[in-house]
Amino acid sequence: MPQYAFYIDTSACSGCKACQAACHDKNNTRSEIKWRRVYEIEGGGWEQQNGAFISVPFSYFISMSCNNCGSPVCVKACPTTAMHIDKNGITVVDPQLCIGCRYCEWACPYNAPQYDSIIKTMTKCDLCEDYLLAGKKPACADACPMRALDFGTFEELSRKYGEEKRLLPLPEPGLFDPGFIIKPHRDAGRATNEKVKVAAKKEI
Amino acid sequence: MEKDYFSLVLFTVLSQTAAGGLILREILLHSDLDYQISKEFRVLSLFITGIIIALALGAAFMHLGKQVNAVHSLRNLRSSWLSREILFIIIFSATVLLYWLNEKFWNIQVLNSILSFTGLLAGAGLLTSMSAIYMLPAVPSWNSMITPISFLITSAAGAVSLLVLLNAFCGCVTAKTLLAILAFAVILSLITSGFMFSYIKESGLLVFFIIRILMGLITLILIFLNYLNTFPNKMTALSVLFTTVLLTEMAGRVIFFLNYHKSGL
Repeated sequence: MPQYAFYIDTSACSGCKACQAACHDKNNTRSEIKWRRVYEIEGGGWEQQNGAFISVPFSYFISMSCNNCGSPVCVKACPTTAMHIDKNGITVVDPQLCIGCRYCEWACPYNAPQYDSIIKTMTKCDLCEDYLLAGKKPACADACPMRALDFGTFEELSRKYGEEKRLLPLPEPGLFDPGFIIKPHRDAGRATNEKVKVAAKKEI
Repeated sequence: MEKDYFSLVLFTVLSQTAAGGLILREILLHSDLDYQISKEFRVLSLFITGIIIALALGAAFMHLGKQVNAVHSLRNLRSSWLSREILFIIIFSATVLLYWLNEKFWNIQVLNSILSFTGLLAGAGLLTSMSAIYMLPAVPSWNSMITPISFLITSAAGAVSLLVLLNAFCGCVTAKTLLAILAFAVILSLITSGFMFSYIKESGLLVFFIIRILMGLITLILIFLNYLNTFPNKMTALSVLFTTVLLTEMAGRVIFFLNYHKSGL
C-alpha cells in the first residue's frame, strides 16, 4: 500500500495559518484541538564580525499534522489497538476502543494525536480520508494560499520534490519514517549550527 | 504534559512499592539473611501489598479518559508496553490475592511455591514494562537508563521501608541491614535526580528539586535515628519513615513527569 505524504515548503510558508483554519472548518474541531498546527521556529542572535556585533536572527514556519508515518509509534504504543492503520493505509483512531490514556500523544514526536477533553478520547488528523476517496486533496493542502503544502503518495511527491525530510527542530526522521517531504527555508542551514526553538508555544 | 499527571505519580510509586515489596518478601523468606519472620508477617505483608496495589490500580483507572473502554487494554500485547504492563499488573494483583488467601486460610504448600514464583515473575515484569513505557524515542529526557534505574530504586526504597514497618508491627526485631539498604537506596535516589539536573535547570524545576533534596535528607536522618533505636515508639517512627520515603519518591516522580520534553516540536 503506498504511503500518503505531505510536501511542506518552509521557504514559501508565511505562517498565515489558513491550513489550520481550513482543518478546523472541515473537521469541525474546537480551537484547542489542532490536527494541523503552524509552528514558528526562531533562532539566531548576535554575531561578531570584523569587530562589530551584527544581529542575525531568523525564523521560519513549519505546518505540521499527522505525517502518516511508515513506522507509526502511536500505533505501536496504543494498548487497545484504537490507534490503527485502516484499509486505505491511513493511521486513524477508533473512539469505540480508545481509553484516553494519552500514551500515543507522548509517543508521537509530531504531536499528532490530540486529546478531546469532552469525549475523553484521542482524536487525530485522518488526512481528510473522505476527500481522498472522492479524489480530492486534504482541506489544509487545498487552502494554502502560498502553495506551501502539497499532498499525494510519497512516491509521487518524491518525484516532484526530492526526498528531503530533515529540518530542525524536527526529530531525526529515520526513527519514525514520517510521510513528509520538506523544502527547507533558506535559513534552515544556519539552524543546524544554532539552537532553535519553537516561538510562542502557548499559541499552539 | 497533561495536567492530571498526579494520578500517574501515585500509580507508579505505589505499584513499584508493591512489586518491590513482594519480591523482597520472597527473597527474605527464601534466604539465609538474619531476619525474623513470623506467620503474622507472612499474612500481613501480602494483605498490605494487596491494599497498595489496589490503590495503585485505582489511581491508574482515574487517569483514563474513558474507563468503560478499559476492557480493551490487552489487545495490543504484541507491540505495546502499556498493554503488557496492564497484563502484568492484573497477574500480580491476582497472585497477591490468592497468595494471601492461601497463607491465611488454605495453607497449601505447593500453591505457595507456585504463587511465590508467579509473584516474582509478575513483579519483575511489571517493573520492566513500566520502565519500557517511558523510554520513548520522542522524549529524550525520559529515554535513558536513568528511567529504569530510578524506578528500581523507588521500588527498593518503598519495599524495604514497608517490610521494616510490617516486621516491627508483628513484634519482630528490626533488621539493621535493611535500614542500611534503605539509606543506600535513598542516597541513590537523590543521585538519580541529580542526573536530571540539566533538564531540571532548563525547565525551572529547581524549586521541586530543592524540595526533593530536603525531603531526602529528612528521610536519611529518620533512617539514622531508627538505626540507633532512639525512638521510644518504634511503630510510629517506622510509620513516619515509610511515609517520608513514599513522599520523597513521589516528589522525585513529580520532577520526572514535569521533565517531559519532546525532541523537536
